[in-house]
Amino acid sequence: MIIKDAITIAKHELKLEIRNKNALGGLILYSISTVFITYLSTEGYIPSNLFSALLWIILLFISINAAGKSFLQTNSGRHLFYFSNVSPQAYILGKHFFTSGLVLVLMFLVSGLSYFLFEPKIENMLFFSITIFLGSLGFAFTIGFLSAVAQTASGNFTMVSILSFPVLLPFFLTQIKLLNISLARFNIDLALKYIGILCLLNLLVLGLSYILFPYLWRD
Amino acid sequence: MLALKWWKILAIILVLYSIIGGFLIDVPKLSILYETIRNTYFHVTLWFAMMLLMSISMVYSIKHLSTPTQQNDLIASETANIGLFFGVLGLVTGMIWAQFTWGAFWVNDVKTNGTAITLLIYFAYTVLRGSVEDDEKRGRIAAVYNIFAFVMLILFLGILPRVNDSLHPGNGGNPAFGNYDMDNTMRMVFYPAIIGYFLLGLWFVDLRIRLKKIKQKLTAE
Repeated sequence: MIIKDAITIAKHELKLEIRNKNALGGLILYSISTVFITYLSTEGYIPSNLFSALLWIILLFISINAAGKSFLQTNSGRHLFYFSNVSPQAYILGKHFFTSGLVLVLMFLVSGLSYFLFEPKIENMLFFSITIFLGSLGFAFTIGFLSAVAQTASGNFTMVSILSFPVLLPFFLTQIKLLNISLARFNIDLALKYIGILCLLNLLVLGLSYILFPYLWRD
Repeated sequence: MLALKWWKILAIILVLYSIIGGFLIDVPKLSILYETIRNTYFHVTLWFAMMLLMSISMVYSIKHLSTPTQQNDLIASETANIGLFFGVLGLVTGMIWAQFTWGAFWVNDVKTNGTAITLLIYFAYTVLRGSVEDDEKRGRIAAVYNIFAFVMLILFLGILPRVNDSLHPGNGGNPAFGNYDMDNTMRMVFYPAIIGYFLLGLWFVDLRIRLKKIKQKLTAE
């Protein structure tokens, strides 16, 4: 029941996002220009560990922009509509589905583009993609939930970044480690260990937002 | 005349004892550390007290979500504030120690990064509290963020040292205050010091809560 409702909400959000082409186009343009600015300012020749750090910083800012809006954009009328129709758990799950999809698309766009521009030597492509995948899920869940917190608090966009940067650091550091491993000196044991940690973090954030969201919702 | 409760007197005695004992009682001579091991009595105990206060803050946040009362919210916020204060003191003592043992105030180490993140999270918590006007709403939102951030923090502090090597005593074969290196005379100061600083923290919390209540009464009149 909850899952079904959540999927309906995610579809609904997707429809709204597609209808509002300006916002989506703006996000894509923002991503592309961020990558391009980084490329121009580093002249394209960077060592692989710097590449992974830069890539994650770019991805962090893009996902803050993409996922941070998820609740801030929702106006009070639409909020009331959801409130009277679905349970809070279904609502947060639906939002999570939608934002993680959006962030995933942007993340792969950005990583593909930076792969094309910077031409890093990647030792293990599979683990590179898994890292991007798990990382974007984690970013989307955390930022999505904290944007709900920020929205109830003040409806202010800076709040999202203040709240989410420190909480995102565990994700950030493990992702950079994992990406570094998949770029050079690949080691399957170590990689699996980091992937385990990332999965654990993702599940934890998902669980916490599922439990805590109903308390934010009562407005 | 002196209407101090027993635990406040205990706090004064234990903290004084830990300061005097910490500087005067003999310590084991360990390589790298030498006399700087005395920092255990200050830096490590402050951190223990901070983590205890933060845990109390989390517990009261959960309590506040199940039964929202002003008292729960006040305790949650003030323990977090005092914990933050202890955290800053712990960071400063740690930095002074690092200057003399590692040669720099700030080292890119797991432990220092963990500290920085802890402080950032709780500063974000205070900013969040400051941004909401309505009392009832502020308590609820702050409690939600507190629980979320604390769980992530514990996970982070638990996981990261296991995936990275650290220079910090107790990690990577460095001599430390762990089971084997800390002798009984050190424990005699160390454990009372933790209790002392924790009680001192609770005293601060108590005072701040009373101050807030008085202020509220004055503005209500």
